Amino acid sequence: MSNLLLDCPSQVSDNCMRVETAMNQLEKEEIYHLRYEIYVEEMSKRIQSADYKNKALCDELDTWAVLLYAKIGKKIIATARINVGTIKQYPAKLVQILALDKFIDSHNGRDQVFAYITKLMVVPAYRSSPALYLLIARCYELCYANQVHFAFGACNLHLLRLYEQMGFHRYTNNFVDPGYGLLVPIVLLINDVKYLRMIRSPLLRVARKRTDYGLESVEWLRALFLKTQQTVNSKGVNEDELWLIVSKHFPVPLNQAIDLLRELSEEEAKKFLHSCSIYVQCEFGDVIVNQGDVSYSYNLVLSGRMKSLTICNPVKYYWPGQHFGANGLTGHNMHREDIVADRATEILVLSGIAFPRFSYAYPDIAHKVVKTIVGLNNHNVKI
Amino acid sequence: MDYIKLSVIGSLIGTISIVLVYIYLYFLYRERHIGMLGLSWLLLLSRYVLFDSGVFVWQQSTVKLTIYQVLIFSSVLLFVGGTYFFVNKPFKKYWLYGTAIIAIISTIMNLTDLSLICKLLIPILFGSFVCFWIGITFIHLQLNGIGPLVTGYAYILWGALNSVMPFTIDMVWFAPLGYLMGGILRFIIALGTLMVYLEKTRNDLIAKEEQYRLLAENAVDVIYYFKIAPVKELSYLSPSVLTVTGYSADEYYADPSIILNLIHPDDQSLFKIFINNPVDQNELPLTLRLVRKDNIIIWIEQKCMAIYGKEGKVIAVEGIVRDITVRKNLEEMASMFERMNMIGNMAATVAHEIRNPMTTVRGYLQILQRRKIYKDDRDKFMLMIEEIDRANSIIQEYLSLSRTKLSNLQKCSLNTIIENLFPLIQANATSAKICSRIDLANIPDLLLDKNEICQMLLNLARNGVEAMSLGGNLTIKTFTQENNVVLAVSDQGPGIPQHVLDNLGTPFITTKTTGTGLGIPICYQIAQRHNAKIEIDTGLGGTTFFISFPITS
Repeated sequence: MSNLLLDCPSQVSDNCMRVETAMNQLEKEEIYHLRYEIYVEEMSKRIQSADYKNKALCDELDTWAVLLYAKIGKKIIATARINVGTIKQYPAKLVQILALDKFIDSHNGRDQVFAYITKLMVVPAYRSSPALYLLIARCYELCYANQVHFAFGACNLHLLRLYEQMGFHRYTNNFVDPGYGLLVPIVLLINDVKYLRMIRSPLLRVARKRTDYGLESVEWLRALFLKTQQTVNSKGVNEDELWLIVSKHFPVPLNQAIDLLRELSEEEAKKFLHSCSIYVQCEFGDVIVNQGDVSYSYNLVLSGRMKSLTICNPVKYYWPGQHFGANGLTGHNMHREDIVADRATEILVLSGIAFPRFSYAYPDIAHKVVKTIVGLNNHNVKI
Repeated sequence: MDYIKLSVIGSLIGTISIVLVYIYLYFLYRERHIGMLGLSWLLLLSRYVLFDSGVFVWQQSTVKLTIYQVLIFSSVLLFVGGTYFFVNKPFKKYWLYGTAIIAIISTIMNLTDLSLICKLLIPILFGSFVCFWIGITFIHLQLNGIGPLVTGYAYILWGALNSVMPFTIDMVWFAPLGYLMGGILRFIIALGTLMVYLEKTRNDLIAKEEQYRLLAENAVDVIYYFKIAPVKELSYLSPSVLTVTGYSADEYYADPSIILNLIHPDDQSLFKIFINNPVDQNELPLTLRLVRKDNIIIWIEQKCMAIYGKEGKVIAVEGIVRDITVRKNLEEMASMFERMNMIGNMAATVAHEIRNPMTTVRGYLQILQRRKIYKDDRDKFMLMIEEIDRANSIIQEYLSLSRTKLSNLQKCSLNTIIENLFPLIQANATSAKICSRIDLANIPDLLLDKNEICQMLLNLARNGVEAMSLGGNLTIKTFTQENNVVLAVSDQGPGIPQHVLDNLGTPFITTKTTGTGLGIPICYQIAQRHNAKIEIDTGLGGTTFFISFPITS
């Protein structure tokens, strides 16, 4: 599988990258094909609805979605899909998973429009380019233009940091979309410019131009969901706070409890965790790791217990401090097991998407992490 | 000597002759029914000698009368049992119950003041009834010859004679006649039984001979019998030799050297070693090629057994020649597929693994090139990165070729793939002294790549066989579970060690000194390409790999 470090083009100019809306069938088919390349061929996702014969990936939401794409020259390098519609337009199952009915305010009722941003992806070579930002920014503008207050989405665990950096919030339970794995529902409060400013979201560049935003929906949502949540937002905590939150799960210092951190000083470990990790709460039965999928993260159990569904006898458990699944931090390996949360569990997901950026910022710390992982792998191979 | 004594002696001679016939037959053939019938006649004889001849005076003694009756009942029961076994039918238990009831009634009657005739009436009538039953049974016997009829009617007449005896015993003129007729009838029964037995044995032999002849003549394999001493001679060759070699059995009888010309030139030396000493070569089957009459080359496998004479010398060899061309072709095809798949998948797995260290190297090069001290070497760093990118793109192309295998998925039967491959798995298992079996349930067709499934099966079966160094069973099962078809490959080895289990599927991890550690990772790749999931159940009792394939509509 491709890696950010490997495939990042040395220079990408914003000027030559254009974001456009797919207007004809040809463009749409090109987008469906790109989705197939990334989900099925690169990420090894096993999606039943994929058209394996024509190498295309689309679903019922595409029939009324706006399909955006970023292009350099004639080549599509990124794509996103945004649906803007009332609750009646969305499939009932999706309404339930995203808890959309809880977002209906008394003023607009069921005519209130919601946005649902999905199928956002960038080809490996341009993942460090502004393509992702440009597409989300265009989605933000579309939401604003259509008087959308809430833009929803759902992402895999290793992408949570990325979306939280943009300004999205976690707000409800995770769900499993067959083929796509465990997804976390996220919501962007279009009018919460204050929050975008606070976290220094790239979207602020678009949002700050607005002057007419109302804050009612923001206050209402904060009161309803976000204040009562136990979620640790990666942009809402600093290094020390995150260190404290993670440390409280272990009776010994973290760099003794977790193998991966054993070569790092406390300061280095704090930086590493704050730059690369996402703190995730899982419910009993959440399948975190799927056999055959490519790993994009390095997962650690903090509390509770994980169980392998592949090695069923003897039952294989993963306990706090243990790593589970394949290493997706420094390389992209295939998961060999299905691993499920055996009870309410908290995990730390070290994102392989965040690690390359961290390596540029802190090469010495990154070097120690790489050395530790190589050492752990070699130990396994030599056994 | 009066007529009565002469008649009794005649009667005794008739009974003794029967007993002798049965004793002779029993010691000759050791058949259970002959033993039983012989014993029953012996009991009858002892009754005549001890009681009827007047050695004991039994008529007035209740105990002796009871013993007399017990002898009758015992012999009658043995007659019935022997007859059942003779006609190959199961013995009916109601005979036992009936005899027991009659014996009890008779014993009770013995304690009363009834006359002797009354007391003997029931046992005698019972004996007569049994004679009728045996007679009818013989008459209805499906056997050629007059033996059954002679014996059957003799039994019926003997039964009739017995039934009138209580009423005629006091008739002076009838008693000697009765004893004489009884003796003659028993003699006829003896002769008739001998005839029936011989006719039955002959019929059985004919049937068996027919059965074996058909077996040999209809056999797909060629069966032969070759005399070595005193003169070398081809004694028997089954007709299937025509189908296998193109020459008929008669052609071989006329010129046995045909076989020498049929042997493929490359296998002549093997065959010569065999014919010079066929007995020493019979441990393993001899496999060689034949050039048929129509010049088609076929593979045959032959296994022979030595036949020893009285002096312990080999006088003949008999054996079977089997056409194994189809199996051999299958083995070669499977072996080729396995090699091709193995090489392809190994290369893909290795290529995949190479990318991880390359990623690390590239990352470091990117970081280092930004350092001021390497400012003058930046173009060299760029070159190194570009070269790694080039290598990576080659691997990417290669891996994408490997992924195109998805398009080779076709709807087919997993069971058929297993059945076709099983002879090969079985041969490997047998050579390692492992017993292998398949247990295939009725399952729907699946979207499969046949070659890949063959390779997965071979990998798992080989792992299973190699895990059982002390022998055991290798089982390949299929069944449906929820919305999946499950393929299960089980061995009875010692289980997968924990450190291997923790890293199962990781390339290059193996417990074998000669293993590559790629067998299971390749299985994972194949499973992944089929949307299948692997599950493992391992312990001291063995290991089972479950591969669950989703049922596709």
